[in-house]
Amino acid sequence: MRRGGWRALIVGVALSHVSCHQEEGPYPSKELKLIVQASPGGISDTVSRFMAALIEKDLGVPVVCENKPGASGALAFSYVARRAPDGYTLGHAPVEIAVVRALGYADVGPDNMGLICLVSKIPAVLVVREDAPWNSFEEFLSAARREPGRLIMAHSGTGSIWHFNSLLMEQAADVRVTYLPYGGSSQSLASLLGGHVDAAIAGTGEAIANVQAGRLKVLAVFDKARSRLYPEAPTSYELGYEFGAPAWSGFFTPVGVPEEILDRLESAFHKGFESAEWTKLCEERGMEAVYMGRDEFREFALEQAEFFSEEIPRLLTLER
Amino acid sequence: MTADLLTGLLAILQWKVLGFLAVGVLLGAVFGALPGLTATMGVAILTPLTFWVSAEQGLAMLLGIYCGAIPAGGIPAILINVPGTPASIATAWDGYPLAQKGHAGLALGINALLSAVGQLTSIFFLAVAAFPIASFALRFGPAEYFGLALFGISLMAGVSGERVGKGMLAGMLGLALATVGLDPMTAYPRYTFGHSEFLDGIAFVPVMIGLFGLAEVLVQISERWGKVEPAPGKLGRIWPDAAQWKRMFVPMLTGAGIGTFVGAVPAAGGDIGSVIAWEQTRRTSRRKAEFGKGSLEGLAASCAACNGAIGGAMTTMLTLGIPGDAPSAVLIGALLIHGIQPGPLLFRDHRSFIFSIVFLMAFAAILVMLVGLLGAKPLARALRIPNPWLWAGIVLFGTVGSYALNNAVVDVWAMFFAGIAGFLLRKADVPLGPLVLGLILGPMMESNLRRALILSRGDWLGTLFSSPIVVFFLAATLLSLLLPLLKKRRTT
Amino acid sequence: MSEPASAVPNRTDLIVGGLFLALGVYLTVSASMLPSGSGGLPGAGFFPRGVGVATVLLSVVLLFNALKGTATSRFALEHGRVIGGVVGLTFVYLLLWGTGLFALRTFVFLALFLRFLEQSWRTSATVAGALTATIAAAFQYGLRVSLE
Repeated sequence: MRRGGWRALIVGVALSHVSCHQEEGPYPSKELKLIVQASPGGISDTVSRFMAALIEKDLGVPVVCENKPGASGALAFSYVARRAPDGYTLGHAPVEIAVVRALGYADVGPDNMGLICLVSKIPAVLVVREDAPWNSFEEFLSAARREPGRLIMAHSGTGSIWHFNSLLMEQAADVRVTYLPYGGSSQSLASLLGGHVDAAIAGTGEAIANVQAGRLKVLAVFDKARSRLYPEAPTSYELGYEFGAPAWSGFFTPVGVPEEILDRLESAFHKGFESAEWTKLCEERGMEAVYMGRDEFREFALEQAEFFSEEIPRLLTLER
Repeated sequence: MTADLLTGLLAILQWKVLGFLAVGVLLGAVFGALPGLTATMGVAILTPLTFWVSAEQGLAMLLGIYCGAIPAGGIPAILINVPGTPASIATAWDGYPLAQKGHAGLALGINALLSAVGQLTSIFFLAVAAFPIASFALRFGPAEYFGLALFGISLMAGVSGERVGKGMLAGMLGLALATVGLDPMTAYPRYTFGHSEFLDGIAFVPVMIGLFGLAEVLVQISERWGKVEPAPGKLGRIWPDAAQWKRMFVPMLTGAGIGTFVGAVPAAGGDIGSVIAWEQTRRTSRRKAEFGKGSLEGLAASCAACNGAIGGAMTTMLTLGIPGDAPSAVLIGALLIHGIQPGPLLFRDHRSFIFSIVFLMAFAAILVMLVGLLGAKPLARALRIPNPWLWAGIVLFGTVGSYALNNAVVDVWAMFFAGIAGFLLRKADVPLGPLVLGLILGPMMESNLRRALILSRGDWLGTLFSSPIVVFFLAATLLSLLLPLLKKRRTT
Repeated sequence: MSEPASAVPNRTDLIVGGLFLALGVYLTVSASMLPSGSGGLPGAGFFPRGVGVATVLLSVVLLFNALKGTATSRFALEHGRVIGGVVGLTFVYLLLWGTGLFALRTFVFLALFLRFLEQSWRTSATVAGALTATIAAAFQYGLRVSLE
């Protein structure tokens, strides 16, 4: 009896030990992991899963997405940064990579990441209800100036990129509004539609359904160039207010990945970016398809990190 | 209207579409039945698979997952007291005792049948009254959400049974645990002790798995170890008889109605809806003492409500483009990828598509019911598995499920410690229902109270009497707290 | 000893009440160190303080009732050795989480778990093997969760 039991145990151990050992060939020889810093279903997750499916075709190996949400993405960024630089672990790099250090969530930023490329951008948009008394950004601002703190503005959460955009607006236009933070743009827009707040700030794509239906109107897009989604809406720069911090999406690896692997990855992402599917996704989710290669993205991300580490402490004390 | 209805129906009456629907329903059942995997996760993970098929086919699969997962979440709730998804917490309260009494087949049968009733009722509301429901949902501002949360908190006393004092304390523990992490308003870190893993708070699903999974295993060991396992009884009938249908009729309608409305309100889903429906049914029932001990009425109300929430959430999502719960938020993304923009224009420009969705959901509901009824007998036999095997399985699936949720080790530990705490609390006769309510409602109550105070600029009275909805919830809260006291006075 | 049961303080409730009182005091004190904000803009400490005060009040009521001996529940830990063993085994399994060889570790854990619960070695190994295979198939290969 006992001996039979041991035999079963040994067979079980042997069976469970059969792991997928593969011969190391030219890169990539096994599946890649792409770590997403947000929960399944959001824009970061969609961008990552969609891109994963596109680069999979070019690389010829599976690219598996894994969600590691938490602390504005800081957990996922530090996790990827600590992985072996073999090119088999990638991470999604949203604007938060330039923000989390300034917020004090983790000591990680673009300088300890091997950035691959940037693939899209989402500017902020200021919306009010269709029946609101203000028809332009200027009218909204003068109302805010007349009674500082009177107007109530919903955003997607303290420390979120849309919150920073509204703080930048206050600073640039020298106005004061009262903030109502929500847990995400769908809630802040619901609050605006329901008449509980005066205005809301969100990503361009997030507001489009209710703008097209004539329930909301756009006062301004906080960016340099006009948004393809709202060709009629003026930008903050056009109106003479030089501010705007769009959200963006890119990808990164740990530091120290060999150059030829980075080249291989970048070309796969570039092919994915050029595909008709990507253009279509960007149109439908209200993103601007913008591409930056390795060096350009690195320069841009470092610049953003510097901007946020200077601005965030100042903006947050401004709100108090 | 009729033309749109027919076009919508014809668009989905294709073998491929119905095939995708069936695949979705079966996958959804797996996601729902495994604790740790939720309907949200199922829809999100399979969304990319639908990129390269037609909108109808992709949507059929995703709606199938959504409609299949919620009823399936009731299966582990009934069999092993572990809710498969947060929505089926209240299903466990009566379903599990019923199964322990030897009526596992009946409990599973009721879960299958009444889930379908809940879904079909809410889908009917979606088809005929989408806009009135949606505009009602929009009237929920911070003060209204606070009222709803306060009302939910007042249910703590009701779900505590005879141990009201300890139940309320357990509720406070839930509220306290819910404050861990970044403050929802000012993003100030609270009780994180310097660990960035705690910035987003304690994940709810692992705690739920620990409290009901691991703790249940430990309780069973302490109660059954060394005792001869009773000979397995008959599986019993699956289909309720006429008298049972009659008893369940009113709770079923109450549940479906409450579920639909709570589901339609953004940021409140089937979990809250089914607890409210359960407590409402208990309060008006003539057999109050049976609740929590295997009441058919309680089971009927909770099954119908957590499924009613599906149609409610879809209503808000389709009419306003604003998700009514987490899975429908993911569905928005999937719809956008197929070039469909949920929102008011959808009803003007794509009426037939709306009817396609309605029919897809109705077919899914019926399919889930059939799967549930066919599966009831074999699943109920799972209870004949020797106890130690079942315990090992629960511990293993609970652990891996907790990890799979966010790929975070900290969640596994949360499950473990919640399990031990849950075991000790149950041994000390402290009910766990209020603790879970506190965890769910805490963030909603806190953030909306603070938002409401910002809006009224610190004026409490102005907040509490700002709209008829708030006053309604306040009155309901007061009534639910005072009525038991008044009754006690009268009886003693 | 000879006192009537109703007059004996309920020890379980006293301990529960005491623990919750400690929690309430901790919450109240720690919340007062968080920013409290102003009337129109309540800060991070506002809500935890409220919960803390409510916990203190409710636990005092519970302690009071326990002293009167009105409640009847008793804490009794049957089969403490078995429970301790199961908890200990699970604890060790979780400590080793993420150290590699997931399938092997899981199999050994389950086999020991079942053996500890007085299943024969043969049964333990078979059930553990089946469970490990199921979990690996569902999570590692089905859902592509990386378990190490």
